[in-house]
Amino acid sequence: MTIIFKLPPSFDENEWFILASLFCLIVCFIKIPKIFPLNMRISIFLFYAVIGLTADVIIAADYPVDLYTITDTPYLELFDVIAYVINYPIYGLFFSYIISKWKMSLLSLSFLIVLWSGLTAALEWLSVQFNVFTYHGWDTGHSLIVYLFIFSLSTVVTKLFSYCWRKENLA
Amino acid sequence: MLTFSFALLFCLILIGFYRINRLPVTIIIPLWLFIMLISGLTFNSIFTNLGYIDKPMTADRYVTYHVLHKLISPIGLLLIVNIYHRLRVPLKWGWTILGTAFFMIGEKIVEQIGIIKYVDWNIGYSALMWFSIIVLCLIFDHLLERGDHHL
Repeated sequence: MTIIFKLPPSFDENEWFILASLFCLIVCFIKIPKIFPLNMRISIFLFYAVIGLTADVIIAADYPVDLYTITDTPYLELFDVIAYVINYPIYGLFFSYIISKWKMSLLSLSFLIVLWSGLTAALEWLSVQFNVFTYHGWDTGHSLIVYLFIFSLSTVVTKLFSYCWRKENLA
Repeated sequence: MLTFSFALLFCLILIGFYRINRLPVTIIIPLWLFIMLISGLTFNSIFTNLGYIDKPMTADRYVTYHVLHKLISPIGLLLIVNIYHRLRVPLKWGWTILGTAFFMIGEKIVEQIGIIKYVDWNIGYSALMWFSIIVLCLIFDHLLERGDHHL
């Protein structure tokens, strides 16, 4: 595990930030009611993990562009993987939970996407202060645009998943 | 051009998959995403951390790599899982090894075309990697089937 995923050169503020946010997210995850069937919950988890990894590979790898570094080095570190497979999915699950729990009009859904993207960009700005991300040619404004796209896509995907699982349960 | 060819290949495999598939969509979705995540983390660590394979550095090859990683590999593995379910126990292991061989050959063809370039990588590592990914998929599929009706 440690050979494939590099260990951080020093255990500093970005690792602590990832661990603290991990703890808060797990506590919130335990508290929220489970409204999705187990396999749908797993699918939502995996979707956010894949979207986070894919976005970072496209924007922050050496080709085609390298606009920011995640944690300490350009390598895939153990704490990057923790963020991909636990932090991003739980945070994303909250968004899917909100849009599934309450019936929303298209207008209120659009408002929520803008609001959630803004909140995510604000959290990213906070993580930048703890050196989780180091920008080189990127800024939080760019992230906001990417988040608007990601959470619009996530809305469509969550609705699609709900449809698939409802249809499967009726069959 | 390469991207177009591989996208076409994906469409052909998709038609074949649609004909033989017995897995419900509630298993296909998480399994597809699981394959994308596991293989994504594995390939990225091989490219970036270990440097055993050079990743594609031209637009056409780069997009082709993503078609391979996000579409062709998952559907190939889903085909393997589908056929695995139909076989009797002694044949299941044989099929897993045959599936590994398919992916090894596929990877070698991709390397010969020039989409990826081996640096410190060889076919033995490919065998180990694809066998591990296939076994992980089968374990995950088993867990999903157990959790299919669990709320």
